[in-house]
Amino acid sequence: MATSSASSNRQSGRLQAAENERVLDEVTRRRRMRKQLEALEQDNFHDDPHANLQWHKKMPKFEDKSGKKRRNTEEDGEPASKKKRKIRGEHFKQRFRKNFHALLEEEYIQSSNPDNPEKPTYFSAQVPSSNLPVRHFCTVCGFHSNYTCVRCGVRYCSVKCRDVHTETRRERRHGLFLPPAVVAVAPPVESTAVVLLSSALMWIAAPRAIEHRPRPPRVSRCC
Amino acid sequence: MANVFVMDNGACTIKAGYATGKEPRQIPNCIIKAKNERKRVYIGDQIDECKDRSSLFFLLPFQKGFLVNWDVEHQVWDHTFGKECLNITCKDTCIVLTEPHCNFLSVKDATDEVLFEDYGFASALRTNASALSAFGYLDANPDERCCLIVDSGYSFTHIAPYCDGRVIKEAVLRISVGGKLLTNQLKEWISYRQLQVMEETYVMNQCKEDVCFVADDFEENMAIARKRGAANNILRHYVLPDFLNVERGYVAMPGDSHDGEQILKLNHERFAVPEILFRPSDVGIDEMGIAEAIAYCIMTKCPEPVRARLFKNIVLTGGNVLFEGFRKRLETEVRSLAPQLYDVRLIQADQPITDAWHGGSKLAQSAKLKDMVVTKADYDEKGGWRICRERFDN
Repeated sequence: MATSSASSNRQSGRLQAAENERVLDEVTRRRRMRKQLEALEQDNFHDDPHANLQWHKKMPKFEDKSGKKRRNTEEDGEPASKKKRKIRGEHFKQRFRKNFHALLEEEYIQSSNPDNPEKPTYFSAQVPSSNLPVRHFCTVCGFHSNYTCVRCGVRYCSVKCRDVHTETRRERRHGLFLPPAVVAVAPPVESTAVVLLSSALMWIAAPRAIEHRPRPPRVSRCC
Repeated sequence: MANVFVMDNGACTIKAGYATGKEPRQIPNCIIKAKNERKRVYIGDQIDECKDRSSLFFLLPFQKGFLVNWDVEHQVWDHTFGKECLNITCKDTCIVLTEPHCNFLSVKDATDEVLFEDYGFASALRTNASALSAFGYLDANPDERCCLIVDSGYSFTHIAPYCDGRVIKEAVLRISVGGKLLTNQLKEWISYRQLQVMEETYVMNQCKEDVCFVADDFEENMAIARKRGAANNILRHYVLPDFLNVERGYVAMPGDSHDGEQILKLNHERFAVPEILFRPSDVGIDEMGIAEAIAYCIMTKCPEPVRARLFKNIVLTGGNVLFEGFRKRLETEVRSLAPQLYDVRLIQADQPITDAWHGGSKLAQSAKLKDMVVTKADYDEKGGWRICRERFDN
């Protein structure tokens, strides 16, 4: 069917309506909340400034190194600390280089040991959910919000804030804001891999995100 | 007894010093990399030597409040124990070290091993920071016998009741909100609304400490913050440091003029940030706030006879209590949640950050210490981790 449209910018009205109606589902919303909370626990939001430095052995060192080994000075920066680490013993590295999730897994396994069911653990020490009602704040201006974005579920307080939100369409990675053009692409669907124990533990041990009540899908009003 | 060295090993700063001293030295517990200094890193308090403190990169040994990265921690401890800093000889010293509540067994074993085998201390005691604060408090007020220590620090907040010097282990509660989360949240809000500061942890932490306060009435303050002009007495400008003319950021009133400096406008963020301590659900964390958790801890987890004494002796320690208005707000909330027949009394430690250290120093000078420590001889003969767990963790 040949169309008589001259302008190449004209898009199909049907596709545009479908695009505007695309509502993020519950799983994606929860994933975003979890990522936001994890970002709050990060130490650094930029890359290591010393990551790509090449340490040349032949580079002249201007510090005056005395003859005896002093274990407490760090004037040489990176190379000295690397040397010290080797001297200290390989077994240290194997035994103690566990990250937090590995420790959590261990603790989980030990705490489900039926020997001591009453013993307090890391998990039992976590404070339970609040009994007070949740307050919602506009993501754009920070004051109280009454309305929720249909597509992604974030809160806004007024039409002005809603427009700002639609423009920026917050797809944040590490605090950088991607321009709207990139965001228009549908987010990649995560593979439904088998849930590993550690990722299950992240749910248990991470600060619990409040789950938004699912909103009923809206019927679009376009003609 | 040999010299006792008290070390409060926190995720943000180490407070360390000999027990006979007056004040501990506060050393940042991290390795910092600056973007302009390629040849060296700054360990601990060497950061004072750094001129340009923008976009600092932090390497912390602690993750979520627990010591996981021993490589970094070794370097910081080497520097702390070394000649440039506190200059101690480990062989003749007894060390009192702190760890968080509900610490993982492998971390405990690793700590014991490092203290005895790597540094070779003469004897050691591994305990919680709140235990030291409780000791200090009960030492000064022996009639009270019970106290509830609220330790709100960098990584999290712990609420621990102590009765006759012993912790009630089942009643210890942990809230995942700490100073780090507050600084990160402030950075996010500012980055979205004004200026990209996600990399400037050091500067924004100072901003948070300078400018934030706890609102005694959140709604009233929100209403004031909405106003414009002179009626809004909450709005402040914060001048960011550029490390050339301005060394450290400072607060300014909205009317003042600043030529060429970058300014942040802080309005309701000033009290919305510490509000997260009281209502973590504001940012989506499904946990109780401090006041609710205190009431929950005492009323549901502690036995009935001690509740009255616990409500009367709530001790506030840790860096976050230094927010202006914290104690007053917490008192109002706990009073409204506690049953009417109990008296509620909150005591803020004189120096909240070093309170645990001072408690440790008092413990060192008391006779109780020698029954609590494990000596190196014991460690070698009786099988290391076994004796440590027995003494420290029963």
